[in-house]
Amino acid sequence: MYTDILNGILSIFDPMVLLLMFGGMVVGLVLGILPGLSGLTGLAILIPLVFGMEKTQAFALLMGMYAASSQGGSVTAILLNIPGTGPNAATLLDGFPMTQQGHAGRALGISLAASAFGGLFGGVVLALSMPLLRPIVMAFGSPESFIIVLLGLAYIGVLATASPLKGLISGGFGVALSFIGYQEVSGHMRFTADSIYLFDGIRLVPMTLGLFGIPAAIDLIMSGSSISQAKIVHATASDMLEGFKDLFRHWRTFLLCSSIGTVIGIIPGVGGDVAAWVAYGSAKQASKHPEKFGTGCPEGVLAPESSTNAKEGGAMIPTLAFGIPGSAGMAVLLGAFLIVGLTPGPLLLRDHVDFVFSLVAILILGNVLGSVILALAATQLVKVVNVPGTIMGPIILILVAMGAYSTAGNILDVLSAFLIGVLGYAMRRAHFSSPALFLGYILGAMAESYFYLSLEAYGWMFLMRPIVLTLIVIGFFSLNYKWLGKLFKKTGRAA
Amino acid sequence: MFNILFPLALLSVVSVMIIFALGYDDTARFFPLLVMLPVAALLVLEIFLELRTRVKQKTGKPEGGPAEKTGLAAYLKSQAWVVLLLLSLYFLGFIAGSALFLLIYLRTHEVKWLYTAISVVVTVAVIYGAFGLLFEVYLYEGLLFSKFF
Repeated sequence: MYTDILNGILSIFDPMVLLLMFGGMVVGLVLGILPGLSGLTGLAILIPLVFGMEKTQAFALLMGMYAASSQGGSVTAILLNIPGTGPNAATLLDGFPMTQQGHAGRALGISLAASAFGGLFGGVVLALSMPLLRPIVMAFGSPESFIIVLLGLAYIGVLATASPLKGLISGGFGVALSFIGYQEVSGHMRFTADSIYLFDGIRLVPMTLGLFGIPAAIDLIMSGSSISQAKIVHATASDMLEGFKDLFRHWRTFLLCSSIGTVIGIIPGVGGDVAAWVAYGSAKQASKHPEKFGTGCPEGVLAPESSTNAKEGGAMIPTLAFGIPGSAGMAVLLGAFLIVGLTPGPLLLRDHVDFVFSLVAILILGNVLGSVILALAATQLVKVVNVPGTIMGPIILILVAMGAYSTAGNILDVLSAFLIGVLGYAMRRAHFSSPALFLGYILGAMAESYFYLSLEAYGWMFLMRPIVLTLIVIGFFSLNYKWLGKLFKKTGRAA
Repeated sequence: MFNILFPLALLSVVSVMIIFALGYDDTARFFPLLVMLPVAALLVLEIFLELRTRVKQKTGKPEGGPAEKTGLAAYLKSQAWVVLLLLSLYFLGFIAGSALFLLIYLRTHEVKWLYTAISVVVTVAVIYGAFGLLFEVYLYEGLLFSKFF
């Protein structure tokens, strides 16, 4: 057993494996930086190349690319306010204000360190949980997913502390938008106005780019000044190091958010968006200075980044143990397993322990090396924030249009992104919360589906399942612990 | 004024959605109504609070001062550029449309020819090279090119 584990880990240090992993990571970083394209696109492009490859080499290429893609997305979120992928939208809430304040290097440092260590955390949990995989995965069904998603929705209130009423309206409106399209449970088309385009609902990428990228571009066009607002921003090694230190200064936040990411990754179908937002909300709740979140707070960058990368380790667990993909990316990777002649499931864990540990090592190394490559490139990348808004604004608009189009190849997605952009800009002017709307939009329909699935499978008794009850209690305390703490103190003093 | 107009616009959208939802069966309308009815109520509350604040703050100043008007003009101008981009992409496609839009925009804003040329070349290179060649995204060629060429 231990020899297998060691052999598996050592096998990734083969020069060809390392070369393929490096190639994959470069593709992943470029994909992440380009708006609209994600690791999923990369997997679809690279999968044909793995036919005939040795299995460790094939997965070094695919997983190296996949691990690095989310890190590229963080860079554009922090520097340009354009989230590369859905989960990166949570990063820009504090990452972009940090850039505007001249702390782009520090924000990138936090993001890269959190990504590397988050990936490491997820990988270690994956390795350690191998013997426990079966009971862990089997414990989570649709009722537990429903509660987790509901918990995510509850964070709408946490995101919008500046104006809770406007936050609730924004979140509720986001949930309403998520109902547009085909309802899985009843097969009904809702709010589509008979438009075929809306049958699938409002797509995620146009929504993400429109809501966050276009208002940023309009601001640049209107002001004409650079993102750094006339200050010349550099990303020196010491800035990056400062960001790196932030990870250790806020180690509790890191552990909390990485754990959240890993657990959410384990639950099939819940996904990285939920992980990033739940982690952000939890970090804000747990912070001593929640009022600083959204204004350029290091913890606000640390939280989503660590959870997003830790999530991939968690998502590997059901994929390897049962062949149940924990995320869309894992579903594509499942195909790659079959291409190289492996069938994920209990037999894989029994007969190919060395290979499973190679995967764990690739996942960890991919995250760490991806961060190192980006850290080396950061000094050059950061120069983009000094470009005048007159030049950067229209370029961002074009990239947003290209990104919105690229996922489905539908020109209507561009129109959709720009209409959402107008909504996003209007929300900003009227002091409504775009992040709350986005969170509601991501989670609304998901909550509805899990609710009906749970109801069909277990009746109302689904609320009585032990893990559901535990999650409800944890959720209640995590959302109200400050208020409860004050209450207990008061009661203690009165007694 | 915008702080009242925007929630009013949201309220009208939500109201239309509520009317649509009432026509669906129980499973399809339960969640939308569960969410949208409270949202509509909160929007009414928000409009009421905003109106009350405005009445309290009323000092006899005329609506829409010069700053607000300048902001609106700048916003409308930026929206005109957005519409121009959409039209150029729709008719000329991603390569030609982006290049033309960027050229017009940058020259109108008196950006030097050298920077204009660099910006156009880099943007087209990213679209064609990264999206088109490397990641094999089919680049929409525009109505004009697909119909007439």
